[in-house]
Amino acid sequence: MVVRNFLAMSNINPKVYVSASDVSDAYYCTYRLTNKLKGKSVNRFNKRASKRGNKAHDYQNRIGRDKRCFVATYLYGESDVRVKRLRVFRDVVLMPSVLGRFCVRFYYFLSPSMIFICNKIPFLKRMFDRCISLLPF
Amino acid sequence: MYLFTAFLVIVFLYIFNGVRRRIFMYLILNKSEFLYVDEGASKLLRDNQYMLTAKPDRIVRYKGKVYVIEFKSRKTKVFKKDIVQASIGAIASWDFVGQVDFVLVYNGSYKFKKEKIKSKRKLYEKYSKHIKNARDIKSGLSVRSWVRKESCFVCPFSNSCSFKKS
Repeated sequence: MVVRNFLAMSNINPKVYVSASDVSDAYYCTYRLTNKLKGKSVNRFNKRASKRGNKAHDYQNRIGRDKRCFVATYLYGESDVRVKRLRVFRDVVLMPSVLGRFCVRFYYFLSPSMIFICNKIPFLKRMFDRCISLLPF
Repeated sequence: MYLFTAFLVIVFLYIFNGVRRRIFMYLILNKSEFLYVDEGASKLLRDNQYMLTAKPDRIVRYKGKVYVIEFKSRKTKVFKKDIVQASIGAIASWDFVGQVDFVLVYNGSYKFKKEKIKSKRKLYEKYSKHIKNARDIKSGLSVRSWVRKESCFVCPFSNSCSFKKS
């Protein structure tokens, strides 16, 4: 703090790293970045908006990654423990048999449309979540 | 009759434009090779030459061109400051990917703006004024303050801002 005050008084610009969001914040208004750095309180409306934004970002980040799997892409995310267990179940139990392979293929065929429907009806997402959590692995 | 035809043409263009941009975004998000995706623990991209850091939402290679993509969840429009953010992301990710060809910002309704990048230096020079201002503010130096009053409506600090109080 003392160093920063000294630099501010002597008008020397210390080389600090600037992030892209800092530049974006200071683009229309200098007060915005100053307030952000001071840690001033964010209003209620924007708190809700940022929550919505984070959810939308999560969904966008999953697009195009593993679009075949409903559980991995939509319900839990790729790195979840339940997804890993289900993958082991798929590889070890289902894939060796013909019927199992057919089930897996049918599931991958259905999965993109399931994601589309669940996006429209959020109740279904909760229902699928419950059903999958009832599975014994 | 002419009015009706004009109305139909406008509706057709509106729908055509919507379909076109959705198809483009679908292709670029689904049929491209991912080079970087911003998740919680993904690494912060740095540019040591211009002292910039960024975490762009994703970097993809599509038809041999590298795109730095930024997503905004709002559904209204893509602002200039979003393009600035993505451009800084492109500078910061230059060393990571080698070459960036386009900056693309899209929003919740899949409206997008795309900018071609000539070189890293030119991109930096374009936004150097804003980068300098942000750096000055961050390092505690006094800068000439300015406000675009329209942005106060969407500012998260509108309750506690010293500009509004004054």
